[in-house]
Amino acid sequence: MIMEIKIQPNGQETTVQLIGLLDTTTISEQADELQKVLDIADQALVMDCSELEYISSAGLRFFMQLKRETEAKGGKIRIINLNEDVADIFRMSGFHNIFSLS
Amino acid sequence: MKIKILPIISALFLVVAMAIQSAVSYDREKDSLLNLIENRMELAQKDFIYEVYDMYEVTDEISDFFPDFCENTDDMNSMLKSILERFPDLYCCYIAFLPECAPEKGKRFAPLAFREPDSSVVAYDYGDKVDYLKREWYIGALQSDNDGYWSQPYNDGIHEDPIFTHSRKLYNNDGKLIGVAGADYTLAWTERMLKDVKPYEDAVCKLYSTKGTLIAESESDDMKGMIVMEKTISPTNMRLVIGVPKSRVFKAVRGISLLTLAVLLMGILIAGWLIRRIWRDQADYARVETAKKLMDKELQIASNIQKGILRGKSEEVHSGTATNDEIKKEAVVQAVLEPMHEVGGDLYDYYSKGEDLFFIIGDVSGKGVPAAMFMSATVNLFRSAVLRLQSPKAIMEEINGVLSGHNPSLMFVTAIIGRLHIPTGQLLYCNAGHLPPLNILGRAERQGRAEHGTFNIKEIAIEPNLPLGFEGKFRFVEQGLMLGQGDTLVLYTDGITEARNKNRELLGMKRWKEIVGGGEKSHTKTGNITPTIERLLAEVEAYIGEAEHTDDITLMTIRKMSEKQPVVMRVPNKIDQWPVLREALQNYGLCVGVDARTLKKMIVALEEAVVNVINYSQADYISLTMDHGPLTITLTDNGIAFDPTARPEVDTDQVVAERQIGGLGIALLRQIADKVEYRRTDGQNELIIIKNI
Repeated sequence: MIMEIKIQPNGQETTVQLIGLLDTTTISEQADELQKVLDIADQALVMDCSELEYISSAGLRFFMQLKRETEAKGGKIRIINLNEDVADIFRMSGFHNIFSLS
Repeated sequence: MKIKILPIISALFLVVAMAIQSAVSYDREKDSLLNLIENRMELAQKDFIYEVYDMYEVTDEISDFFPDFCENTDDMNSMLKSILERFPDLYCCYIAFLPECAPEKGKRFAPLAFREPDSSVVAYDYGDKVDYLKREWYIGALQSDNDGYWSQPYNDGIHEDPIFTHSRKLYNNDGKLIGVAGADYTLAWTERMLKDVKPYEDAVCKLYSTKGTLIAESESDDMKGMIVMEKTISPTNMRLVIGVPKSRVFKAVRGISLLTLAVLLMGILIAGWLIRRIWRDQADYARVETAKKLMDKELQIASNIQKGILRGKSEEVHSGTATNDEIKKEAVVQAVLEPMHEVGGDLYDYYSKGEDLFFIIGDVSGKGVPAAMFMSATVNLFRSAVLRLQSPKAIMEEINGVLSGHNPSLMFVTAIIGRLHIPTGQLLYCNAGHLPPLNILGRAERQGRAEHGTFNIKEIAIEPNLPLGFEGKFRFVEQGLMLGQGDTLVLYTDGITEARNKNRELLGMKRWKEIVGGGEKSHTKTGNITPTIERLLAEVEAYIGEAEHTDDITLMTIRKMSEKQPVVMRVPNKIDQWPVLREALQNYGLCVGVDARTLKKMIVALEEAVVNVINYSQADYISLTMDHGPLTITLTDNGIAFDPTARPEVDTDQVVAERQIGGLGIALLRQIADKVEYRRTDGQNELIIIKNI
C-alpha cells in the first residue's frame, strides 16, 4: 500500500490524513477512498499531509476537485504539515494562491 | 533399583559383621585380659622373689658368718642383731643347734634376734623356751638341699600377721652340720603387694599357702563369676590367685565392638558414599561423554547445515540479457566465511534474478549456536524476500519485521543488503548498522586518481540505520552507487577489522583499507581475475598469525566485469507501468548521487511527461533512458507525433485561478526541468528532459 487515506472527525473539523504517494497510479487505485473525502466536502476539512511524500499534477487535480466541492457544499479546506518537497510542487503549480498552506 | 538395595545390603552386612566382630573380639579380649593377668602374675612372682631374696640373704649370711662368731653366745647374738637391723622386713633370725652340737650338749640351744614391736632388737635363747626340734622349718631344713626350705605360713602366736620361715642347714668350719639357720618374715607386705598386683580396680587378688591357708587378700570377695587365674609363687609355698569379673571382658568387648562398629559404620558409609559417587561419576562421566559426543555430532551437523546454507565460495554471474553466444563474465561473486566455532553468527548470501544480483552480508550479535540459529533465520528470510521484492530497503524491512517480531533473546544482526544491476552497474544497497563496504576501483574509475596519489579504494557511504531485530517498524534508508567496469565491492564483517595479532593489536579500518587497496594494482594491470578474496583472506590470516581468532571472519567480493551499459527501461505504454519507471529513475538518481529533493522533483517531471505520452500518443511502448552529467532523461515512444513543448506556456497561476486543470502537468514539467527538448525521429517521439545537478 503506497497510498493510504484516513478520515477522522475531530471536534468541529474532520481530519483527512494522506499517507504515501499521490500520483497518477494511486489516484486511480484509491478512487473510491478519495470519493469518500469528496463526499464530506460540506465539512471543515483539515488535510494532514505530514506523511504525504509525493504529489504530481494528478494529486493536485484531486485537491482542485476537492476545493470545488467544498465551495459548492459550503465546506472548508485547510492543508497542514506539507513537507518541503510537496510544498515546492504546490508552489510551482500556483496552488499556494488558492489554499492556505501551513 | 541398585540404589534402593544398597542400604539393605549395608544393614545386613553390618549386623553380620557386628556378630562376627563381637565373637572374635570377645575371645580376643578375653585372651588379652588373661594375658594381662598373667603378666601381673609374673610381676607378682618377681616381686615375691625380690622380697624373699632377702630371706635367702639372711640365712646365707648367717651361714657365712657363723664360723667366725660361733665361739660364744654373745658373738652370735650380736651377729644376728646386726643382720636383723639391715633387713627391715625381717621379723627375726636365729640359729637352732642340733641338740648334740649345742654348747651344752643334749640341750636345745637357739640364739635368736627379734624385733620388738617398738622396733628395738633383742636377742635371747629361743631354744630355752620352745621345743623347735619338731617345728616344720627345722625338720624341713634338715631334709632340704642347699637352697633351704620354705615353710608354710603360720601363726607363731606372738605376731598378729602370719609368718613364714626360710631355713637352711648350717655347717661349721669343718663342714660339719651343726644346726639350722632361720629367718622369719611377717607377711604384712603381702597385702601391700597384692594391691600392686591388682590389674583392675574390680579385680580380686588372694594369696594362699600351698596347703590352702589364706595368707592375704586384696578384697574379701569370693571369686564367683570371675575369670580366675592362679600361680604358685616359687620357691615359696604360696599360691597367687587373681580374679577378674567377666563383665569387664564384655565391657571391653562391647567398648571395642562399639568402637569397631562405629568405625565400621563410618567405613561403610564412606565406602557407600564413595561407591555411589563413583557410580554417579561414572554415570555422569558416561552421560557427559555421551552428551558431548552427541553435542559434537549435532554441532558438526549444525556446522554442515550452516555450510550448506551458505552458497559456494565463488560464482560467475551472468545477467539475463546475455545470449548464449555472448555469455561472458559479467560479474564475479566470491565469498568466504571462517567460523570461529563449529557454527558461527556471520552470514552471507547472494542470488541472481534477471539482470540483478542480490546479496547480503551480516553478523549476528553473540556467538555459537544461538547466533547460528539467528543467522540461518536471517539467510532464509533473505532468500524468501528476494524472490518477491526488488528493493534492498523492502527486503531489509521485511527481514527486520520478522526478526523483531520473534526475538525473545534480543539478538540483532548488522547487515548490508544490496542489489547490483549487472549491465548498468547500478548498485542499490541498504545498511543496517554494518560496516561500510569498500570499493576497489576498476581501471576506468581509477584514472586520474593515481596521479593525485589518492587511494585506489573508496569507502562507501552508509546510512546509520538500526541493526535488524530491534524495531520491526523501522524505516530503512536506501542508498545507491554506480559500479564501473572492473570495480570490486568488498564486503566484510568485524571479524576482520577487529582481528588481533599476537600483541593484541587490532587490525583496524586503516590497516584493512591498506590491505584491500594494496595488492590490487598488479591484478588490474594484467586484467586477470586474480582471486582477490584469497589474497585478502591470506593477508588477514598473516596479520593474525598465531594469535587466536576471536570472531567469525566473513568476506564477500563482487566484481563487475562487463562494460558499463546505458540505463534503458522499456515498458508497455500503460498507466500501471508508471511505478516501474518511477522506481527506475529513483534508483538511478540514488546511484548517480542526485540529491533527494531534486530527484523527487525530477520524478514529478517524468510522471508528467509519461502521463502525457500515455494520454495522447497511443504508443505501444515507452522507453526510458537515463544518463548523468547533467541528469538526462530521454523518453521514447512509437506513438503519433506529439510535441508537448509546442504547446503554449501556461501560467500556472492562471490555470488555478480559472480552475482549469488541463496543461498543469506540462507546466510543472517545464518548471522543474532546466531544459526540455522534443524530437521526432524514425517514427518515434523523443522527449529529452535535462536537469543540472
